[in-house]
Amino acid sequence: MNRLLLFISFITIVLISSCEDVIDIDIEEASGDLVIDAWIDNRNQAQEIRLTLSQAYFDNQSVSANGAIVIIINETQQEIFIFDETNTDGIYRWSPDNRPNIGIEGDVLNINIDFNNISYTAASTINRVPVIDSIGQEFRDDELFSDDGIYAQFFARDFVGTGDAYWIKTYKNGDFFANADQLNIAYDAGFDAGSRIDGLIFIPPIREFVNDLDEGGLPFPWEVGEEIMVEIHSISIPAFNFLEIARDQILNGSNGIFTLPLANARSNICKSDGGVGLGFFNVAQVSSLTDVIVER
Amino acid sequence: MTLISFFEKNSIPLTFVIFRRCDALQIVMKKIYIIVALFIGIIGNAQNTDQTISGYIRDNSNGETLIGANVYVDEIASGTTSNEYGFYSVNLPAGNYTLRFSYIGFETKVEKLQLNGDVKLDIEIGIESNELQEVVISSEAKNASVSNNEMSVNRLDIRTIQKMPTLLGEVEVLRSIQLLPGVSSVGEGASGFNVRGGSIDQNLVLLDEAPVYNSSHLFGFFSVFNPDAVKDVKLFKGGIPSRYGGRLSSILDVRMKEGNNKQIALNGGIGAIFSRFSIESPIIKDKSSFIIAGRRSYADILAQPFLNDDLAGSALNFYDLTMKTNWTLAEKDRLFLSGYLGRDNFGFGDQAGFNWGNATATLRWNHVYNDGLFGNVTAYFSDYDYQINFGDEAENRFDWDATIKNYSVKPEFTWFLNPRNQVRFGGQAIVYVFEPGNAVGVSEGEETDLTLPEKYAIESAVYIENEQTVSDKLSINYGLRLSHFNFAGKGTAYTFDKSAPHGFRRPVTSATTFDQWESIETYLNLEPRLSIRYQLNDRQSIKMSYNRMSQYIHLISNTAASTPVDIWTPSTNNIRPQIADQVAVGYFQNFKDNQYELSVETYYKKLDHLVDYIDGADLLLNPFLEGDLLEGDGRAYGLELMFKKNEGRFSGWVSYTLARSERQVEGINNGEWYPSRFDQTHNLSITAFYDLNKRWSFSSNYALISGTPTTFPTTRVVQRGYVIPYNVNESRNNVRIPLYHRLDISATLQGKKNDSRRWQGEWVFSIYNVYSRRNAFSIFTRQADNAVTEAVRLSVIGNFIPSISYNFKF
Repeated sequence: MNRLLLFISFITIVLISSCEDVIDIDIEEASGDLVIDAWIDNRNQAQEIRLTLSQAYFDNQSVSANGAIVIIINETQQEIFIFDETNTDGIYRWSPDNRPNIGIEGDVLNINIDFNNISYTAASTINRVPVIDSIGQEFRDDELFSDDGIYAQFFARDFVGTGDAYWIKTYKNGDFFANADQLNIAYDAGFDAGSRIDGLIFIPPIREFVNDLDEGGLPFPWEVGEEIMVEIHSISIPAFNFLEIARDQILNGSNGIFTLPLANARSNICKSDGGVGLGFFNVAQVSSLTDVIVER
Repeated sequence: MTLISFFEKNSIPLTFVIFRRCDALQIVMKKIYIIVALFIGIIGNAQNTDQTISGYIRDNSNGETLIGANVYVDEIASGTTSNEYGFYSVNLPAGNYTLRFSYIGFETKVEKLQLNGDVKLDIEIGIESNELQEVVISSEAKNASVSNNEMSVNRLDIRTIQKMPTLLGEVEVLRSIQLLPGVSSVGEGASGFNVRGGSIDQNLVLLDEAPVYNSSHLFGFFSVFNPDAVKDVKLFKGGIPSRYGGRLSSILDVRMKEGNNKQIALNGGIGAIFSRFSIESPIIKDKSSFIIAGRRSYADILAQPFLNDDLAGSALNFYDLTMKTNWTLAEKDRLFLSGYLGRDNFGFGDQAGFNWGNATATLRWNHVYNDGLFGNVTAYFSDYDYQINFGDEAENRFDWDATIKNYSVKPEFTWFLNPRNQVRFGGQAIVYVFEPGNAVGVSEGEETDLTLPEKYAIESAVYIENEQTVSDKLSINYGLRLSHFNFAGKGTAYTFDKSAPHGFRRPVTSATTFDQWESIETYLNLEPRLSIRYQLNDRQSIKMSYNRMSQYIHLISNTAASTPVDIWTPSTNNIRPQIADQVAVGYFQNFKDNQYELSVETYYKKLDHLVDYIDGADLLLNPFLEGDLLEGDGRAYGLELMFKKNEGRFSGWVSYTLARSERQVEGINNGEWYPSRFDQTHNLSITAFYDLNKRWSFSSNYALISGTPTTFPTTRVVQRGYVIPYNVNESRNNVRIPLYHRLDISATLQGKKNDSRRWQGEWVFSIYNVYSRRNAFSIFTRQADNAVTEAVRLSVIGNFIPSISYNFKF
């Protein structure tokens, strides 16, 4: 939906002399609630959870939440993983010990955080993830929305059966494509639950969304010798909904006159005082493939 | 011959030939005819021995019939007005009478006659010669605003609309009506309009009686109505008579010209956006004529030489074609056939394409029965569709289209019973076919069909109304409309888990399949309508109205401005019809021999079962759409003032609206009332016209409007480096964007008059947004590249926009 709005609003921008000005506004603000950033995976490597305090929307700073107790319980395997605060940056870390990872596909994990006498809990299941068969590279001539050069796409096939959700992350020479307009999520092999594209190779906009974007949100080509790494992280449906609303809201301004109403990305975290938590807990399984861009 | 046999002989074959393919329609039509026949039976018992004077009132220069022209009978100090087809009828006892036929801007014609039998009297009246260049901003009887039974109704003559300053010099029907009290829009570029706190899908926009589902070109900048083909525009905001139904908030009744039946006439114009051309001509003089009017934008033609290889073949245009022809078959029968075809086309090389458009066709047959019974049967077809495609190779592409089609037949009768009672009755049946999405995605040669099944529905209604002059002071229009909706198969009807918390997607609990035309859900609504006028004297009156409306089809749209891909959906087993009740009270006064008009109206409107959406709703290509919908209520109330100067070198109006439009939906704003996205507390507009001399005339409009509400986040929530906006209060529309104001001016230079030459040209110079105000369409928040959050004002028009256009007549 959002992509379509972008496409439509692009037409209006082309045609009409609209303009945007950054302005100051006074808004009601709220801050100081614990935000749990717990997007971890079951790889054999250190796992980090970041705790911060929410800030007023226009306060451009980050405040760490220190002194929390963070544990993850693998309900299926009956094991406990303690995440230790190693610094004052709000990062709580678990590193593989005698156990290589915090669980395997199908395991149910619970997170439990105690902070300022409130406990925060959430659950996540490690879902299946498809392997990436290949990363394709091709030279494309100058096109309407892109310059000539080498463009990449990844090929992987969604599992048959609806309800799989994925977060596809791309890295260039180890740097993650971190802008919100590069947030690439898939519901089965398509954009969302409504599209019912199941069991296919990820459809073109998704599989081609591994090219870097310029300021205007248009893809630009790779240089020969650059390294491309694509990862697919399995996520839960609530996690997909969270990321979809988050992305649509962050990018809502680009919709021009077709903006959506403000919507809250819904957390899966429950608070012991009955309030609504902020942030998300998801344990992913990851598949990954790396390639080097060669002359075409 | 009984009236029932009239139906059987005439209208049934005519309409059924057209709609033979719809079996279901026949069943509904039979029901309608039985009920209509009952009404006729009741009224038909009121015998009278009066004689009838009846006929058509026309403009003598081109033969166009005049809508709402006044017929005044001196001897009884009373009269009537011509109907939508220019037909009038007066019943009088035998005797000598003086009849005055008048229409503002036209010379009054007086006819004396001795009545001793039914008389057919067709009248042609001419434009007042000394007022040729003057603007006439009302085309009704001089004190119509006071004496007319209607309230909450605005008529705009196309000649007035043509005089207003415009965006890029394009004469605009829909922008013009936004200068009237109670009518607004969410902002520049937004399609549609909002009437008295209603959403855009609550307006029934009729072009020669066929509904137009998307009334805009280029999103909302221009409307689909070609001014060269429009004769009359009438907007009902309240006191809606029972002959109209199907939408909650307003009826915009646009009538096309019939075509000059005296001589060939050409009209055209060259503007910044469109070029227009129309031709009208008699086919058989005074018997039949036609008009064909076309417009096309030409930005792409001008740009073509500058487009490189990739862009060659790019499309960027919109066009429309409006056609009408009429035939006088016999003295008592007239046939009209009209149509509209328009499309907006955007294509980017061969990689992406997007187009949308409406098509309508209307066939009407007027028949004048004896005893002042005027009958019309309308049959129409209307279609709105869009197509989108991405990808230029067969292996990887996405093709998608959607359509709403409807077929309708509508018999209507006006019975000029006597000068004190004018009865209208009739019915309508509409068959809807919805194709909410035909979509195919192909990924590496593997095809996925995402097509949603078609949906079918039949909407039908019968109505009767009487406009009764109780005394010289009191007149009442009362009526009833009985509407019925049948959401039918074939298809699968789902039920959803109603226990799911409000505001969250509700899962499907069961599915039932239905055969073609098998009823899935039906709704029946009785809609009373009433308007009362009490005339204090010939300059002052008080009016009151009440109407109940029901709406069975809904536009699924969750964005600030509606997009062309928004789909219409019928009421189903999960979506109840929307219902509105409105009361309005008004005071009307004219001053200085009707030179000035004042109206003050206040209204309260209650809206039930409005459609809203959960956060993150999937509205397109979603078979379980209904699980993402919420149901809510609304209320709207306000005060509208209008002060108008009708005639003279300096004319115009001031319109002011003080209003509130609110919604309450479980699952939004914590279930509390909140202002709707188009709520505007104050809306002031001033429209002025000045004729300097025979060649130069000027006009201007000024708008001052309160900012509409929007929602801002209170909090930033950081996840994986993304700064997500969050509203801890879960509130909706909690802040207002800044005040909107804008001035537009325009000057028209008429070519030198030369009676020996038929060619007449005029230059129109206009400036839109004269002082370059950057009015906010919206204020949104965004995350700049360095993760800094900021507020941004979006102005759709960021500058003044000058334009020149040339119009000609031959």
